[in-house]
Amino acid sequence: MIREASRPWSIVVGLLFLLTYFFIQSRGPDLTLRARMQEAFQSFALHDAELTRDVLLVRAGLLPSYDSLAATSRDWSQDLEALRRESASGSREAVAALSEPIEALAGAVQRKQALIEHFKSDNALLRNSLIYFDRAGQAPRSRSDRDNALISEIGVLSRAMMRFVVAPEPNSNIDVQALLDRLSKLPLSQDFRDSVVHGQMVFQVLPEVDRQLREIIAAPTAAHAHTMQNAVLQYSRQAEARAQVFRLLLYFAALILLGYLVCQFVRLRLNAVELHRTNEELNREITQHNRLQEANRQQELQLIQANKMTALGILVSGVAHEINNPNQLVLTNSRVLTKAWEDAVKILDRYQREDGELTLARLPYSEMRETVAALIRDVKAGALRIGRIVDDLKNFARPGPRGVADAFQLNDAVQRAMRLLAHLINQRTAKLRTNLAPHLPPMRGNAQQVEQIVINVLVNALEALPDRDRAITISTYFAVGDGSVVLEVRDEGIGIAPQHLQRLCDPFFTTKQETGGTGLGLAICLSLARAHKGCLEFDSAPGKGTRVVVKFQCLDEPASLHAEATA
Amino acid sequence: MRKHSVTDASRHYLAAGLALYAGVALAILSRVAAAQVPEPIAPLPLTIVVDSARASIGERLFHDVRLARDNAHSCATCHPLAQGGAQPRPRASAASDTAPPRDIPTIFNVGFNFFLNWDGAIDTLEAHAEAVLLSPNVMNTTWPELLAKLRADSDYVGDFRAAYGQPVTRDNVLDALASFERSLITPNSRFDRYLRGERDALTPAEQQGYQLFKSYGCIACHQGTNIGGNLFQKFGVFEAPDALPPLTRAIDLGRYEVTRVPRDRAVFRVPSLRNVAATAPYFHDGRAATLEVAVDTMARMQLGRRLTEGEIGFIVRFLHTLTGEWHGKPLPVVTSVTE
Repeated sequence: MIREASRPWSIVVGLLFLLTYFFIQSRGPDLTLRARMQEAFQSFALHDAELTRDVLLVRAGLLPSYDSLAATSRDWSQDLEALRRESASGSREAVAALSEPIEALAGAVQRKQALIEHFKSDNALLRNSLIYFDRAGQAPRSRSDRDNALISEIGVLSRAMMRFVVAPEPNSNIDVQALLDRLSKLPLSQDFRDSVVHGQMVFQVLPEVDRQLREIIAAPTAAHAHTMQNAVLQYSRQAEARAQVFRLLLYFAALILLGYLVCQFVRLRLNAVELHRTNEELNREITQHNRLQEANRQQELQLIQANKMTALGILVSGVAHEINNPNQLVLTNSRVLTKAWEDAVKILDRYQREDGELTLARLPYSEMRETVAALIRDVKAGALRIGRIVDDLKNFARPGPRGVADAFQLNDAVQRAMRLLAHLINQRTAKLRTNLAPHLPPMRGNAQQVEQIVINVLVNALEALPDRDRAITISTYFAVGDGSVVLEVRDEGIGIAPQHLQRLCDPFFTTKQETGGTGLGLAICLSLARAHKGCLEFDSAPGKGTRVVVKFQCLDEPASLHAEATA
Repeated sequence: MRKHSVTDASRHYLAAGLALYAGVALAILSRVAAAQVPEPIAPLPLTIVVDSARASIGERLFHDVRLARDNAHSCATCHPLAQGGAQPRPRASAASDTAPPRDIPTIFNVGFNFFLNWDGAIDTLEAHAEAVLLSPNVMNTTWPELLAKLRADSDYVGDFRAAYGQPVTRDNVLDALASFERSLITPNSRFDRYLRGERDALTPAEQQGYQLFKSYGCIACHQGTNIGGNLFQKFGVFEAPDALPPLTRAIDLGRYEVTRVPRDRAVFRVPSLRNVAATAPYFHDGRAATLEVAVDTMARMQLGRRLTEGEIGFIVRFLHTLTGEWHGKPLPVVTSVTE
């Protein structure tokens, strides 16, 4: 799981690393190398030219001092240092590519600078000796006759030197050389000897200075700088080409990253949609499952109840039959006994009149005469009561005649029940309100059984009323929500204790033991209502009243009605 | 000129005339050149711009004996500013190990020299300061040792932080020293005032000395702002230098030690003549104790001339006008040279 989750991350991080690498490679220090070196090259070339110019000016005697030459040379060295620094600042490849040309350039610079130093030294000597001739020509110190012969020699020398200075040609060299050699061998005065020495100095140094000058001018620094510049150019072209490649790679890597991210995003969206769908499905399944479970539980409860009822029914019908037989005997016997006592009374009356007071069961006959009759009546009444209970039990256990499924109106059943109970109603309340909805859809089932339900419920309501001022409302209506016809009986009676609400429909649960309640009325109602695919609902506020709602499935489902009836 | 045909009789006179003519022609050439160019010597600037905070650190470092390993001498030991910026003794150990002991050049106006040391082995003040610090013959210290000493001093740490925004580092120490050394200029010498137009700043004798200085060729080497310090020259062009038996230790090959080029044997930097009267003795080996000796030696060896005492006197008078002012006072003239 963790591995799967970390994989996209490692891909993204890897791509980012790649991007960074390409970015660095495409913007390396080598790319700006050419621009940075350009300035140094310009300065280098400028100072190189200045240096050559100053050397020429020095040679021509037009520069007052060597300061500017020395300063330019120093600046030039700094240019070289800058170039060296720049060429060492690039990548390893750049340093390798430029190290050879920069060293060649440095060598050329060093050679040129060394030449210039030598040129300066020699030029100083040359100038000194030329100045000497200047002074010697202006103020010859010796005027002795002995020297007069030499004056012409010196004149020749001066002329030769003049020629030599103006045009130091090879053939004039020989003349001057020969002249100097000859003069140097003569016994000369100090002044003339100095002239010859300086002449020799000029003769030696001038060609040397000019040679140095030519060499300085021809010094290949510019060529080396050009080579170096070409190397920089070539290298920076290579670097640029390489950077171009890396820029392309950068672009492609960015594309790949983008593509990957888009792909991941799309996958994520799809996953989210899929997840949402699965979740909904799961919720639906759970709901369905819960509903099924609830239905199962209900069915189970119903099954248990049905089983219980069936067992109870079988037991009750067995017991009822067993009770009914001896009860019939009691009833029959009591009728016989009644007639027998009526006959016996006549005899006993006559016997009393003739024989006086007699006792029955150790009680005086006069008292017993009415008492026995009452006893027999009581027995008969008790037997009748037993018979009624047994009938109720039979009804509870096996409700009604089978297979009768007529279509009828609920309102008809209600009105019949009200007629039957008219006396009781009148006795218990002065405020009966009926609110029967017209045009109810017909229902299917046993009308008598429904009538019995209405009677039971109505009787309960009436019995709950403490006085006649309390009202009862009977309503019927059609419940659109579950497609059922509804009977609602609302009383303003004493109400039902909350703890009793759950047990109202249990068989033999009664709060009216004293007034002869059997605890079977509502149990029968529920049994009958179920037989009509209906149900009972109670809603009560103790002291204020109770509302009983009976719902019947209207029409349409005769099959289930049959099934229920069969069960 | 070659096409002239002359008789033998008139030859001498003609030759003399021609010599005169040639001399005049050369003179005209040099005059024409001289007329077109300004004076070969430029005056020192009256002020110089340096970072005062850095220079003041440099001044303290310059006088700080902790710069030497033995904590016994400072830069100022060899370059006492009150004594012309150079100890008046002929020779001291130089920064470069290869060279025999040499005269100590003055530290004044050192910023206007293009080459440092007698052999020009070094050409920046920073490099020179480092060479002196690390030389076993001079300060004999090491950077870790020196920086540790300086960093232990809270004053230095604070001042460097203020002046450089950085702690005490090699580069900053060298820069501070160099900044101070650049600030050591001696402007306003009488000769500089003369160059700036004060014609009566020099006496006629001194002016004549300057003319001799130029016309006898001294100017060929001693030119520029620092009157030297910007080129090299062989010591002993027309004559070999006299051997100095009592002082000879090893033959000083000069710039050859740096370049290893044969013609650089016995070649030395042409020194600055600024404050020359205050910086005796003279030459790379301090062989000349007085200016008169130095001028005479130079004339013979370098210029191939013999000067009269009078000419030497004029030139020496001129050289005395090159003494500039430091802190508003002329540098004191050295009167005696100690070994």
